[in-house]
Amino acid sequence: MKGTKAKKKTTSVWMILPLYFFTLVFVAGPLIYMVALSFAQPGSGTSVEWNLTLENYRKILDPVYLQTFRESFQLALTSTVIICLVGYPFGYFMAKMSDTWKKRAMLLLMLPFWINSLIRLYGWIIILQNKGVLNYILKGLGIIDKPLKILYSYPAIVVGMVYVLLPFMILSVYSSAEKLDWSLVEAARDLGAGKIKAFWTVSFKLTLPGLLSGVILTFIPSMGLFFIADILGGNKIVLVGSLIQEQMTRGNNWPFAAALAVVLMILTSLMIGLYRKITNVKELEGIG
Amino acid sequence: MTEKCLELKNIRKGFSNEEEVLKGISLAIEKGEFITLLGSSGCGKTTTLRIIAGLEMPDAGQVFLDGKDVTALNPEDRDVNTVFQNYALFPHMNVADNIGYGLRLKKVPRTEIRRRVKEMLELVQLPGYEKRKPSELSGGQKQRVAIARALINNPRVLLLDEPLGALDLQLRRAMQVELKRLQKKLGITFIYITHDQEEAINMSDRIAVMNHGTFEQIGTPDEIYNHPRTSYVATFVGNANILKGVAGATENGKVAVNISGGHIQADSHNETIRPGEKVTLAVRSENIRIDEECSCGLSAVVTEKTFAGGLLRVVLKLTDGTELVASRYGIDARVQQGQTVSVCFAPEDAVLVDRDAVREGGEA
Repeated sequence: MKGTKAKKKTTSVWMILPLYFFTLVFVAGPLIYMVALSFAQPGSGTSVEWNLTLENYRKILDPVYLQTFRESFQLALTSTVIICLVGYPFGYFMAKMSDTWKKRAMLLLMLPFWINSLIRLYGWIIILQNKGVLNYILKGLGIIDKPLKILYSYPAIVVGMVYVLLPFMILSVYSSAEKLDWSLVEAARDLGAGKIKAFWTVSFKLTLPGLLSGVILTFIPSMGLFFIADILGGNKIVLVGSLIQEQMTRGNNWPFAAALAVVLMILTSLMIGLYRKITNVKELEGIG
Repeated sequence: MTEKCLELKNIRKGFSNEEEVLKGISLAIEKGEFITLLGSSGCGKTTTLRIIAGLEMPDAGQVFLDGKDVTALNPEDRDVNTVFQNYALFPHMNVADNIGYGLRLKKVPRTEIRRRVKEMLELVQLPGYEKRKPSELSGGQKQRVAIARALINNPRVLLLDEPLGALDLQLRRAMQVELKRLQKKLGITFIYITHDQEEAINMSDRIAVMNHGTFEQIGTPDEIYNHPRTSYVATFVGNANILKGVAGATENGKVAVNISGGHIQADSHNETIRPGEKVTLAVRSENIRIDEECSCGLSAVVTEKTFAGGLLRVVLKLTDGTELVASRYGIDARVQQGQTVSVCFAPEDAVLVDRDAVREGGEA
């Protein structure tokens, strides 16, 4: 008996071994390589010279690059706040809809995923450009005289970020609002809470995990999404994502790109940690 | 005259494309009363409760609380609290925050909230449970917290929606006694919903038996059990047998009834019953005697004989096909399956039911 049990155990270990192997090779491996690369020196062309150096990190402290980080952070924050303000109510009320409307809303939400996001972003160029749809409508309504120069500007990038990342927030909020027991809201009303108070003390508190994971799902990509800034920002605004991409392609400086990526990764991890801590403390406080 | 605490007037409620759930019900409840709405699922009892709480709007009719029309008021503006069937405790708050929720909304000072929460926890026999989360409590404990959370607000009326439904039998019995104790101690009006007739009889001052969106009968447990007015009440509450027959002459307060070829007698309870009128009798199974000295005698065949926890259940079939159940304690080996026996019962055990239908609709 004992023998077969032990044998069974070893077989199951063999069974999951490929999984470990896969994770090691394709997830941990590139990460380790990237960190190692960030301490190397660029050679000629795309080649790398393996002389241990902190030069790449020192270079990041250059005001030009610090500015890039600051701008990226600002943009990510702005986009995430807008995404929260639009996505939370959307996801919350979607969970309250009847089943048929839920299905329709879900279809609307999933439809854009069937088309490549690059192509969809080119659609925004048509809308936002000087002689585009938006300016045409605003002019037609007599709201503006001269066309707004939105395309290739900061607002255009924000629009693009919100557009691309909004579905993730909506789905995240929706999935936690869907699980919400509405009788808890009724209980709150019954105990004397008005609609708004019942929302803040019960519904919002219980859907907060959805909002939280939505923030993580949108904030992190918005720090690194370079193609949105490229297409809608017209290379006028350089973000960390585009900087890394540029260093790897045109700049031929993989070690510096790797160092930028490592710093970006550490910064986002720190922010997530901080964010988690703040929201946890709030949760413990209860209401009032 | 005692004061009316809650009054329902002609409440109607229907949901889209369906039969009306409530068909114009009226009910007056006195202060400090323990009233039970008893009925099977789908009879409209939960809807009635939700309308009283303000969680549902009636299509027609009015709700009065202490003589004031509250029909249009939001749930938060009514001095009524509910103990929900699934407890509905806030999972993100501990026990103390759950119980103190109502007081916090009223901006009661924190120290007073803490004191009253402590008092409440002692009242429901959970002292020292302040810091627990609902997920760490057993079903019975959750129930107590839900009751404390409602009672701390000192409501005019406490609504309880099958609060013991999810508990096991022993805990149910213990909680029944405790709820009754609480209600007597606090003197708060309780409106209690259940589908369990035993629970209703044990706890209530009055019972309102509901069926298909109307009240079949409203009365004390004694009235409901011993003097059911309709065959539904008789079968639902007393597990009674229903016998249909034709009335004969009434003499000395007893009416002769012809059932299935035999003659029996029933108390007329001062009802005027014309000879030839169709009548319905309700006889509880424990009052049916088999093959003994009988003042009457209906011929029947024994179709089934079962024991259930010391109780002998005998199913009988009358010659007209009506099935009867007779039950008694102890083992009675005298009757055998397939045997033809004589069935009888005392006139006072036969209750005339469904008289309203006769009075309203002539000879049905």
